[in-house]
Amino acid sequence: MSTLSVSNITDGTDTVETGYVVNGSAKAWVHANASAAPLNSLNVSSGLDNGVGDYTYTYTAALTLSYYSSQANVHVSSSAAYTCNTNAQTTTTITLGTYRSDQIARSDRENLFAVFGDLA
Amino acid sequence: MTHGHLWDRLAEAKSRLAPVQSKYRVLFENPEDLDAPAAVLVPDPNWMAAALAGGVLPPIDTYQRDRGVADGQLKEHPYASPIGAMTEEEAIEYLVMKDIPPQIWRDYKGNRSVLKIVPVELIPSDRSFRNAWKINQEMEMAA
Repeated sequence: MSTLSVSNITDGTDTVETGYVVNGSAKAWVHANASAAPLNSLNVSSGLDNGVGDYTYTYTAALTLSYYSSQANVHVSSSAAYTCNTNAQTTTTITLGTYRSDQIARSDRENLFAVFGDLA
Repeated sequence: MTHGHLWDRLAEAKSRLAPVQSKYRVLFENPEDLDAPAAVLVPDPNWMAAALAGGVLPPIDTYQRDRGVADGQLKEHPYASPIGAMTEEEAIEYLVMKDIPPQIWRDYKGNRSVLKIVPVELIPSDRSFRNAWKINQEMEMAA
């Protein structure tokens, strides 16, 4: 693999430091099936099926603090409404809950997340 | 350091290696909450590809030492030199020690089996009673 080593990126008008781009990229992400099996991912070592609609993913490279940004969602092919919450996050794991739209009953669903923050 | 940060190696490995679907799953129960259903750990295919290829993942003992490092403090595993290739069985053992609490795989001394490595075919596809799954105490170990 070739490595492009530059300090700045420009479109001819605006210039940003490369560090902004690298630091702003997702540090971990997954698209997993309803049994926590990752279908595609980055920086994830395993998925954990804790029970109905209850999933934990463990990072390979940890985040430095547990206060980071996580975006979670469900993938559904029907018009039925479901939601996905981040129920817990640490520097090494994230736990998602997938629910019917009433936010009470858990439901097994394909689930996705992306994490933005600083690596340890 | 010529080996760089672990995250950079993971990103590079993902671009180079085909994902590997493991033929194993790890079932475990929390001995302090035996009413909870059994959990099923699924190895990530990109992680497994990196484990089998070698030159990407850090030694497992770096993760174990990092359990005692407070958030925000320098951790060892992202900067450690990578280890060589593992077999799939070795990779599963590594993953158990990395991703499952030591209270389950190291400290539990009871008679009940609270952790088993099984072929993926032994995991039920019918999830109707998912929250009632328990480890079959008669089931043979797969690895």
